[in-house]
Amino acid sequence: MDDLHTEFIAETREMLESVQEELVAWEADPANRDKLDAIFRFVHTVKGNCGFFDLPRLAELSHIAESALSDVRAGKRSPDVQLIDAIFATIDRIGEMIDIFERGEDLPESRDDDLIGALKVQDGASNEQTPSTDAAQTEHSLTTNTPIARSIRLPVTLLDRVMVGVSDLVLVRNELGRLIRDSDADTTILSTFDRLTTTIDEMREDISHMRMHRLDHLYSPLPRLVRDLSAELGKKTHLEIEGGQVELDREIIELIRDPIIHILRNAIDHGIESPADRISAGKEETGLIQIMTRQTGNRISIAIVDDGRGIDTVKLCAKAVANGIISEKETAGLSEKDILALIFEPGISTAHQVTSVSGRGVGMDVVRSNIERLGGEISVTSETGEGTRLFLSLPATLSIVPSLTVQVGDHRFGVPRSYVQEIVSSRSQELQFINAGDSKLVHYRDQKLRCSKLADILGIDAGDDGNCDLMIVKIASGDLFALAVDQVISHEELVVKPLADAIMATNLYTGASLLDDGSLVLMLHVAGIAIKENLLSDIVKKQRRPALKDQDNMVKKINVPAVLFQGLDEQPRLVRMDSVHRIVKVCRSAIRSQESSAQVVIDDHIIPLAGTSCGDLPDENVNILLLSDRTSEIAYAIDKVLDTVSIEGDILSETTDGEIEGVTLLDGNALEMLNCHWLFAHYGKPLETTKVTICRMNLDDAWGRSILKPLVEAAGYQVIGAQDKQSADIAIALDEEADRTLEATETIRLTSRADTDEKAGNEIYRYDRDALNAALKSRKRKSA
Amino acid sequence: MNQTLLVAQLNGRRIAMAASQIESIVEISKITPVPQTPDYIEGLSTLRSKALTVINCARVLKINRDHSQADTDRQAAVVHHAGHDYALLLDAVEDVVETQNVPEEILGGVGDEWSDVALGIVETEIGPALMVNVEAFITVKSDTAH
Repeated sequence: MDDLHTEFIAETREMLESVQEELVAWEADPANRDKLDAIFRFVHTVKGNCGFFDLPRLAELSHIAESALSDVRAGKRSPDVQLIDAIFATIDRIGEMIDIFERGEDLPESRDDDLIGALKVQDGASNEQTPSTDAAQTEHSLTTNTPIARSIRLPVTLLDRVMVGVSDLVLVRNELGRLIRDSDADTTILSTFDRLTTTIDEMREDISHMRMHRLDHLYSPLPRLVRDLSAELGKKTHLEIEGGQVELDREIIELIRDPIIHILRNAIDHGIESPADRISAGKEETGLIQIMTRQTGNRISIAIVDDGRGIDTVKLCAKAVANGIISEKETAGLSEKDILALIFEPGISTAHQVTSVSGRGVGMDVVRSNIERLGGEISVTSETGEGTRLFLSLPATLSIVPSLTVQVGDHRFGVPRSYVQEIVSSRSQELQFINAGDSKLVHYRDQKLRCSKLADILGIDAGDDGNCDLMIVKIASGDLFALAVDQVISHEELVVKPLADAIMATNLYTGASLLDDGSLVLMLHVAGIAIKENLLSDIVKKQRRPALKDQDNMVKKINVPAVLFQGLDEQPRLVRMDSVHRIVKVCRSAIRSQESSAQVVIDDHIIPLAGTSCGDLPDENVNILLLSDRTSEIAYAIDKVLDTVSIEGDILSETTDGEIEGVTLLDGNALEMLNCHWLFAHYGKPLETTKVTICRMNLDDAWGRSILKPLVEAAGYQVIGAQDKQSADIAIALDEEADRTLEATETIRLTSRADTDEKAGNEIYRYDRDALNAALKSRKRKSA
Repeated sequence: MNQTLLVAQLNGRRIAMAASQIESIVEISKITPVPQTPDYIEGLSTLRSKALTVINCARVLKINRDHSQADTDRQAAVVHHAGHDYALLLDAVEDVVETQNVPEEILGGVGDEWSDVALGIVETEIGPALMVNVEAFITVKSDTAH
């Protein structure tokens, strides 16, 4: 909050200075609309900023000044001398309040009535004198106070120039140091030089911090934003922020502010469900959004995680097709990751309604392009019903990276220290290498790690093989591998600068840094090297696995989230959470049940129904678990959902293949677990999930209504009239009706003339039952 | 219109570059090699505290004959392009001259090696020189890069 205060004060001061000029110009020429507008904007901004802080007095004063000025703008009031004086006094008063505010003192009890009166009322000459005397008094009291720290704003380019200047200074100092050492200078010169060294070092440190800002600065207003947005949308959301102490380049902070706010808005608007929905989905009533920040080397990664409903990939796909982003054909070949990446395409929005909060046309595509412009990356993962995670990876180009410098052959490189877990030297320790095919492994604390030689990766000559240092490198996913170098030289704080595109294109370096002796070291891009060494596939796999608890000293246990429910036979059973798409309640009449199979209609889809064999269906509403393998769905009838649980124990596999995968232990009870694979293999295939296909025909015609319609319905179509607003899959047109518009994807043409050659005319004789049935069947298969 | 040109030797030929595009002429002594980069990038060097990407112009042209004297410091033109600084290695810098002529196309071309960078022949007070496009040495096409 302190940062915000300082910013507010600095900003207001800056505006105060410029508004003085406008004021004087306005006084000279009250008709000058530009000046008036500038003053109005100032007062308006101050009023707006007051909202962030508890400053009722300032807010009230600026509000009244704003109304007075807006009356002038609207021509309702003429800018007379009194008003102009009052405005002058008000601006001064704002300046005084800012001073008091900066000293951290409370504002004295309201004394603004004089000004407010002058601003409100048009007459009242008695007020004229009061404001200025008052101001003078405060001025006096101000001078008696001790001076306080002030802040100013500077252009970033100036800071850059100063930084470059200091770097040059350091180089000259080092050069001078070498000369002095070589020249047997006397002690006074040496001690003076030492003093210079200390001064320059201190200066360098201060300068390098000038550009940096804590992320707190960006994060502190967010809880309020989340609170207000949630309230507006009738939701409950709690925001957790972690890692606000990470420092980032000021410029980058400014540039990621809007993207982060946009992502939060999306999370609240589309992700977090309403409290009622959350309870019925077995979640806490209050949604949780977490912002986690980590600094890894010279990258800052920010994860924004919500526990909302996740991204509906099916809907997303459909939307992308509808908006012409991809074709229907292309969707088939997309992995889930590719589908999720569609949210970054321009012109996509999965929300049904455009709300005031999100969906203003500024989409995730803008967020992505903003992040990428910074040299950052953005990715998304999502699980239906579980939530969405957005990962931002940003460069902290000018941040100082604590690094290790390493030597390989004649080359020197920097490695961000945060990646290096441990350094093992073959000089001091016996290392055991194993050759596995062409790759080399090394024994490290009971683990076999892949060992890569940096010299081989970069294609350079290295020193002696047996005499090397191993860096145990930990990549973001938690995987370890060993990187062999000739020698780890030292630890330094490096200022990394980006390099030319042709060098960055190798994806092996993040930049270069200048050492104090004027030599250059290349900073290695550890993640890029991991990709090059094919360690990436492992990274992806690891990330998808549930987190392991305390991997060093605990027995590894994998927690499987599951839904505990009561089947129709009133026995409790479990099903893996990942397979459950959603839980719905349907009317008994929507279920068609026979001995061999059962189906249920949900949202106009006929879905195979399982779970009916173990008990009788209730008479009224039936609870259904919708299981999904992402391409098809199966409904599973249950009595009720009991709980969501986490299975820690092993699952004892059932020997016979069937609906039950095995038995696991939960709170001391052995429970059966549904075998989703078997269910999909058994129910999913023979009864393809089929959409109700719709046929449009002219129902005004008696022949169509009474003779054709029953036949079409028997073929499994829903029949609608010519004017019906629903969209139809096929249309049937008799004779010249084909010329009229029967809107549908496809049209079957019938003719009353028996002598028509159906192949040539593409028409079917209306009493040719076989041909008509075949046509209907083939269309139905196609639309399914 | 007067234009100031930097006249230099590259691969035994006289070339000219627009002086407005060149920040300075430096002597490059120490080059830090950068492994796994295209071979026309010799490495990095420093100019005060700035890092320079050192480009071997002869290799951009895919000319393998080496005309430079490897032992001595090499002269290079410093160019600022898209936020980065580059040093274009030249065999020798001759002079800075003014010219009023515009580059003229040469009938029949200037040969495959030079065609990507050449703008035409320009007449100067010390004789004709091949005018080259400075940016072409920096944004090298990918087929040249490998």
